[in-house]
Amino acid sequence: MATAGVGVLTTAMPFVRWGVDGSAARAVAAMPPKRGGTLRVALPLDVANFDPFYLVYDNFFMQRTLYDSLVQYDEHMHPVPQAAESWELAKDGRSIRIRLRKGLLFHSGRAMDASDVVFSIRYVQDKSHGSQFTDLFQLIESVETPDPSTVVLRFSRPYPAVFDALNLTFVLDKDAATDLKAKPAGSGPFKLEQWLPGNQIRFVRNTRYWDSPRPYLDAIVQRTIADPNSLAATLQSGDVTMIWGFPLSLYAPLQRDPRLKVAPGLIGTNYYDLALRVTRPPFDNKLFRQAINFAIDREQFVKTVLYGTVPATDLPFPPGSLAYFPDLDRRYTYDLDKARALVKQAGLNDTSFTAISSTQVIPDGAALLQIVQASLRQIGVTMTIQNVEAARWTQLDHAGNFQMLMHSFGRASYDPATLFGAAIMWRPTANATGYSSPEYTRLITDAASTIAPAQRRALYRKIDELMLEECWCIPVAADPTPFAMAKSVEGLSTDRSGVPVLKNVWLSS
Amino acid sequence: MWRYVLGRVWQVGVVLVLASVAVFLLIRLLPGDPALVYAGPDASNSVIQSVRVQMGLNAPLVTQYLIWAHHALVGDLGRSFANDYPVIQLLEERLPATMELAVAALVLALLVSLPLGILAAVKQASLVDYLVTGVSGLGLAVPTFWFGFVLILLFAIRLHWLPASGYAAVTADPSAFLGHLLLPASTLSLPVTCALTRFVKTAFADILDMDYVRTARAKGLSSPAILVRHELRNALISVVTVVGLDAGRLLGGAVIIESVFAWPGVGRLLLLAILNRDYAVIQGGLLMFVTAFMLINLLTDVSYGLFDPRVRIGGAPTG
Repeated sequence: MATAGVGVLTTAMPFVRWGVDGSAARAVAAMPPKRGGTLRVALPLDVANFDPFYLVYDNFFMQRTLYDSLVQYDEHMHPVPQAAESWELAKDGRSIRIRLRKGLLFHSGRAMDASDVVFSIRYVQDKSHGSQFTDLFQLIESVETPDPSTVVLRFSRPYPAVFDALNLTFVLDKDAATDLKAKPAGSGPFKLEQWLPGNQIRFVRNTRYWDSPRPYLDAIVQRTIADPNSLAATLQSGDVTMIWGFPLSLYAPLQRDPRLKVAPGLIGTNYYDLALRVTRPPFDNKLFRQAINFAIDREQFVKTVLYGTVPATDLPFPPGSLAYFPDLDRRYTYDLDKARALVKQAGLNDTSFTAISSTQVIPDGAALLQIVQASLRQIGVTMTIQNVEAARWTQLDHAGNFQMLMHSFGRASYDPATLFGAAIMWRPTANATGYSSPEYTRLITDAASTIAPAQRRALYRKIDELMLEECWCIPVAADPTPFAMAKSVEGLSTDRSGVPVLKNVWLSS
Repeated sequence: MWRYVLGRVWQVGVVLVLASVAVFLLIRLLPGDPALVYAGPDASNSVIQSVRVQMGLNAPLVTQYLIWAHHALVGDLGRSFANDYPVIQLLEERLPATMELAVAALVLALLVSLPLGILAAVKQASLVDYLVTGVSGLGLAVPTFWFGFVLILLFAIRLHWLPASGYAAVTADPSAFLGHLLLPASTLSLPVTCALTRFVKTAFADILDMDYVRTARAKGLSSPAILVRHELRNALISVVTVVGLDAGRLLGGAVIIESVFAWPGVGRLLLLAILNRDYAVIQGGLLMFVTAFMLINLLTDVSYGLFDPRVRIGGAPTG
């Protein structure tokens, strides 16, 4: 799982090991990590706020920098201790007992205890805080603290995917979390020194961090540079040593620069997809949806727009996932003859529809739609592309007010139950494509509550077959979300959301 | 003169109230729900509703406006939906950067356009005139952001003379401040410099033919004295009008330049607030721009008094 999966053409990532916490630095290179230095990063977005439960791209470089979660994942998707030292999941999967690491200090100097974990869970459960993963915590019925170092969580049903929730349980300092949007309250490897909104933010090493000798860096300075060309120029001029969040159109020129190294983020955290509204023509016709799936030239998209950095796929999870099956991946290869035959069978020759995209939300999505449009024209189907503003796209997405929507989804690298539970195009109820079926609902619910991995895997296979048959949401390829940096930057890895783990980063010069 | 100024100040107040209502209503007409934007499209309806209540968006529109206006009167413009920062603090932190950029661009524009325009006017129909007119025409046609990128490519990436982007506070490091300011200010000033050069040339050329200039020459006044006392002061009346209009345009144009050069000004703050439907920031920011425009207009009108004695005495300017 650490390497990027089947069929990746990338020009190698010898300096980076993905999806690994802690062991990334050890795995990287012969030389041991060096202490010191300031990492200068530029991103197109400023930090939105200091709420670690508010996971938007803006907060990616803040989340695991200022905060610790209870567990992390290794490259085999096994949970490893962070703020939690050990745990026991009950055999029936309905509760878990967690022991906290002793002597773990918040930035305020106070020692973490069980009451902070309770506070944090209550915080994310509170829907008014708008956390994107509050759903993972709604299953927690009660939280008990038999002693200051122990937390017992009880769930309303068996919860085998609970470690995803624990991976995203950032422990807040309950005494300092009075206004989490404006002021952080964490225990993470770095502390906030100064924030000039819209300009820059400066983090400094937490000298009392529990995971010694980490962090290696003295400080991280993050600047906001909205324009992508300026972002790349700032890296190339040497003013900063790392950038992220740039469009793929800059991948090749940055890669050609001999002073830089460029690599995709963890493959399989996010995917491009085409969402089809199944309650209105022409996508109320299953055969037509399948035809679209055969008419997508994924290889061309991956090669020309994504620079071969990721594999094409028709499944919404990466290899290594419980729900991934190699024989099901690429069932839909590019085949215009099959697409044409299906369109004819559906009785929808010469039909037309509108595809909505927003280049503000998914910059490279427009290119994918143009590739699909050209293919569909060859089989007599007309697709009109409509580009809308980000807020409008969000509105249409949420309301399911579209025929086809250029879309992307995250959570794909977590337990499949985490994806199917709340992702808007995959969840069994209130699905934005309008898709629902009793069989799908039953399979999703059963798979999320079943403990035995082999049984869960069999259920996910059935779900995959259903997805590939009904095609209400068509995955196309993983989204590489690449990093570009100076050659002196070592040890970079990300977590399962794609959030960089900066405590392992060090500068070789 | 003072009665005139006071009358204008009263007008500013009325316009601000009307603008506040217009801004309040207009942004709510934009498609897109701030609670949905904040929580994200995957959020359940119950989450979105909880966030909406937290943002105070469930109350009737009139109530929302009155609460906001009441607080605004005492300097509280509300808080950002995203990070809870007081809007007034966000604006205070970002305004200096925009003002510095706009003022620097204006100063550069004047430093270049006045001498070049006067030169072209004095040497009309010469090679100098054609060069100045031609180059300024080209400068007007060139997209400003492209010009900015060319400057970055040349001075930052190739020559490493100046930083590609960013900002340094003048109080922290004056030389770094100037280094960061030079490229964005030059970029922002390009269209204004070119337009002003052509305008100065035209205004000056008209005055050169005036009777009072011929009379001054006949009286034996030296050329510099004629230039300053007669030609420049009269030309500046119309130039000041254009500068007043351009100053407003500079504030607006700063939005693009702030994006290209990562200049942390109010323009960029406002743009992001609009994308994110951060109502309080949009309202506060737009009102601030309205106030700025009105103050610039007021200053422009008052400055006529400096150049035109007829305004000071109380008669209307003619000709």
